[in-house]
Amino acid sequence: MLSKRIIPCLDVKNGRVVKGTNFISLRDAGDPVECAKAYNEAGADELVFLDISATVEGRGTVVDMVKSVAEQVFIPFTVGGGIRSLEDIREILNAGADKISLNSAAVKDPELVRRASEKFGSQCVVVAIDVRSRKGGQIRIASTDVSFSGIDETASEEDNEKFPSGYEVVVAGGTKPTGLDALEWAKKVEELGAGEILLTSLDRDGTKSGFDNVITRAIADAVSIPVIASGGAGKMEDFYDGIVDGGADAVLAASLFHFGEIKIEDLKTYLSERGIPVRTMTPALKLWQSLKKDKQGLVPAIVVEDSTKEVLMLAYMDYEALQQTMETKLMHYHSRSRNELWKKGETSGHYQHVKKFFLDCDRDTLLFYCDQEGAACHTGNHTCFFTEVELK
Amino acid sequence: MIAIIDYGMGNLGSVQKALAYLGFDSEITDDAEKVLAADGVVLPGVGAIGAAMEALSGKGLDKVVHEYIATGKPFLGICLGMQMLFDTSEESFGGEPVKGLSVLPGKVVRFPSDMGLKVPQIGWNALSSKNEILPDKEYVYFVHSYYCVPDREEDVAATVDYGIEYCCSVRRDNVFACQFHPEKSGEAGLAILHRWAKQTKK
Repeated sequence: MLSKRIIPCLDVKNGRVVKGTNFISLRDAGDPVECAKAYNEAGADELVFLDISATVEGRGTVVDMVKSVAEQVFIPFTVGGGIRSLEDIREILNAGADKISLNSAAVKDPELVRRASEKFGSQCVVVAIDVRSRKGGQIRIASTDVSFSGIDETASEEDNEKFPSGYEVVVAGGTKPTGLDALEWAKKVEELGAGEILLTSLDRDGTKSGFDNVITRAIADAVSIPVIASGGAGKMEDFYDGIVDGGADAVLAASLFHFGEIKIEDLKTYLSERGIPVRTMTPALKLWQSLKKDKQGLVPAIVVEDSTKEVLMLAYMDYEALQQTMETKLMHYHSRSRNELWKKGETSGHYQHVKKFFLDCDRDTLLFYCDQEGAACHTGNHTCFFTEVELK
Repeated sequence: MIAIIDYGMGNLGSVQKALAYLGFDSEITDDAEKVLAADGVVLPGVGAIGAAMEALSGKGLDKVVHEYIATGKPFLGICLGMQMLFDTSEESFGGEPVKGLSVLPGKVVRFPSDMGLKVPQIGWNALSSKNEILPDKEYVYFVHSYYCVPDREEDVAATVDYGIEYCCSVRRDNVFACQFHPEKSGEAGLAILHRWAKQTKK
């Protein structure tokens, strides 16, 4: 079954992450690659980088950031903020982003959505829609949005007719109303070719009072493209409600994950226990993901005889070898000379039965305690380390 | 050297970056000789199959793909690159169903519209596999609106459940293809890609 996606959002300014991964101590918490890797290991299903650079020079650094992330992190990621033209989109996609998100540029020029999806495919065009409730003839004020002036004096019953969904699309961080009804705009962007909608309630953003499930549900039911709910999540129930009540296909949060208030892994366990399909990893994969690999993508494995504690050999593992070893409890390696999976003992009968195994403190080496059938070394010696070197 | 076939559509960099990360050299190319001389070939792809087939044929690369596969060397189709291997797709192009490469017998159809499914399917879904090439129950990343229906059951390497259970990976001799994106499926995907790429260094 398709799993519901958990998406952390990282704010980026001048190519540096300003709100990303405070939950873990990184050598450089502002390094987008380090942050992306940390979230990948934490189990994030996808990432969103939101560029909040105020200057043209600042925005120019995004392309380099995208390149570095794409070389090291192999889960999908979206880049948004300040994207204005097909040329901007091309640059960011070519640098390695999987998707771009358009916000105010789409409101200003809806045809940009169509051109972008025709040119690059719907699958990479996310339209970000920021909304505020317009019920009661006034725009509600989000507690975090200090720049917004508050009550819209011009709102009237007539205005309410303009917003049948009760929500208006706003841009510029909520400071500019657009006159567009949120639901109508969502349907429009789908028609224009958007592949996904990232829906943020600016009333709820920063309040930790939960996603706005009313507008999320209205939009999710009205369009056939996935809807990502954003803005307002404060506790695990909020994510559950966003998916169940709001009908969201994915849920996004920034600060909550950044400050480690909620761990993605715990959230996934919580959702999974309540019947929400989420992506989980097999124990072998989880372990493999947490290991430091060498330049060939391998991890050395030391084998010790369980009964005698004698060191028998050293060989290398790739994921397949580790997975097979954990599954069969028989040592498997990656043969570097033959470039293939090597089940120890398959031709010689000298199998190694795993009793237990340990992780090195730096997570770059594995130590296996085994029962050795016959000799470990291909020369017929019990151990590969039978040649003593004279120490002068 | 692995050749990634460039027929002028979509961003092919992700596959190359993933291969580089795993320690395999690759080149994005539309040069027939380079493709035929490669130790492994990847046919990637996103977007519309009609335009992709037209671009491929326009460069004469449809014949090159057949010629390469006949050599018996490892071949990998990803996403649209899997769909193109079949006979036909019901994805319309100028009002006509699209003819594929007919490397494998079968067709490509759209997700049913009457089941309340979101189309495209975007996100992580769990493989169901009974062979050693693909890990059972591992999650991989999908983005697509059409899926393959192979004629031969024995070509199916894995299936996945999206309201309907369908084939998301095929294997026949040296041809391996997947509907999901191994280059975007985290460590699980990298492992699948690594397993395939290892064959090119034998």
